[in-house]
Amino acid sequence: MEPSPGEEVLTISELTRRIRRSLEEEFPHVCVVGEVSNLARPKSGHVYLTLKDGGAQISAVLWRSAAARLRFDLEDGMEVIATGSLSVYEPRGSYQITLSSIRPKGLGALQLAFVHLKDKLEKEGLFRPERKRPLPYLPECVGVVTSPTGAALQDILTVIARRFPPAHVVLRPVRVQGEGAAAEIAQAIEDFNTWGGADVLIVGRGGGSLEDLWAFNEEIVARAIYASRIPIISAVGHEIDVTISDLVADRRALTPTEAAEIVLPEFRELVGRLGDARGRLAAALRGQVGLARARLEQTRGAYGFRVPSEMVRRHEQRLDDLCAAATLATRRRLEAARDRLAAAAGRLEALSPLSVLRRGYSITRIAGTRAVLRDAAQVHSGQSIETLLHAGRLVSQVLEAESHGADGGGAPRR
Amino acid sequence: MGKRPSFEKSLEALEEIVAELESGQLTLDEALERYERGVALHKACAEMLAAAEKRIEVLLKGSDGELTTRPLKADEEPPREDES
Repeated sequence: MEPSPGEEVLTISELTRRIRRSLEEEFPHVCVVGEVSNLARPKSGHVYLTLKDGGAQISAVLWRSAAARLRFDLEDGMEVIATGSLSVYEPRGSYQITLSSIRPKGLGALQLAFVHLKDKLEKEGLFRPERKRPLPYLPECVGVVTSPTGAALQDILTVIARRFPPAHVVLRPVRVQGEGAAAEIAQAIEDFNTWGGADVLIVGRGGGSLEDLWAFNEEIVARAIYASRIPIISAVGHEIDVTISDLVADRRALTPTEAAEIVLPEFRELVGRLGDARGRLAAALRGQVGLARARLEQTRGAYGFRVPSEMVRRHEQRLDDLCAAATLATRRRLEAARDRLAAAAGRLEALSPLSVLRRGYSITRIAGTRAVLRDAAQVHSGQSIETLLHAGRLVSQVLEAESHGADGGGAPRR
Repeated sequence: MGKRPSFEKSLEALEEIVAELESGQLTLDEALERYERGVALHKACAEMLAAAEKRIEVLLKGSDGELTTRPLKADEEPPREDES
């Protein structure tokens, strides 16, 4: 089809230039609201993105200098209010907004809910620092409330196995995102309290988007954590966003891994500390005893101690002397006594009737009696008498008895 | 829970006793008394450590609401909250 006579024929470049002029004059300054998508940040430092709503989209660019002034993280899906001017990029025949500023459009529904709940619970005192309870230093049993399939559980078990191999861990498996997750988490915390076997709880999950973490921002979970008699470590996500659970819990861990590091001490370190204390205990006592002994030695050598000890030694010597003298005296007395005894024995011997018999004397008794004859008048003729000699005895009959009265006269008896 | 002195308290008490003994400020009687107490604390601590026993379990709630634990096997996928 031929152009009509008089019709102006334009080159593409000319047309594009006119479009550009027209657009730029018509829209020197625009302010739009839309959602960020197709965010790209090449090395140049310029930021390219698409702004869209339900019905249309437009390219946008944020030059390096403007991008550097951003005070928040621009992300896909973010609702923003952006200002700038329209321009045409001639080589591609496309138009775009050159942005001079961009800011988040208010708060999303979730963020709003978060702020409201946070304010409410804060007023109720659920976040009070003085309510935070200390964690047990060495829990006998660690309760874990998390997804059985998530990385969080693996991280916790791995760290615990490294730090404290003989640990006792009890898992209460729950869903950590999606419909009903919050109720399950709250119930699990309550169940641990009913059960009573764990002395500290880790409640958490790995990182994720605000939506993924939402269960930990729900009131039912916050209440359950607050009501728990067992101290709780909250371990949600990767530190960027704080959750309500983090605020209510007795302790916040930035990640499940950190929670495991907080919950149990290093086993080897404990054993070392204990052994060290034992060694120092014994050494310190030895030192103390050594010190006491040294003091004792020192005191014993002191002048004050030497004087009395010298006195003691003098007394001891005197005692020894006395002792020796006493022994000697006693021995002498003993010898004297023995001599006297021997003399007495000699005299006794001399006086013994038996020794008289040895010399030829004899003793005569009336036979059958013990009566010794001293006077012939004691017997009459014909009577039997017994004569004791030095060796043996005789029995004989009196032929004649003639008394002459050794003591001046007893009458002869017949 | 809290039925007996905690490990931490005992270990701290033990270390305090060690420090006291090391200070040399005690009489011999006191030192002996501390030493005996230290030995007892050490024994209690060592027993607590020795009593720790590796167990990984799952807390389960039966249909009657009864809470029980059972071991979690190494390669097992832990059960979900019971779907009864």
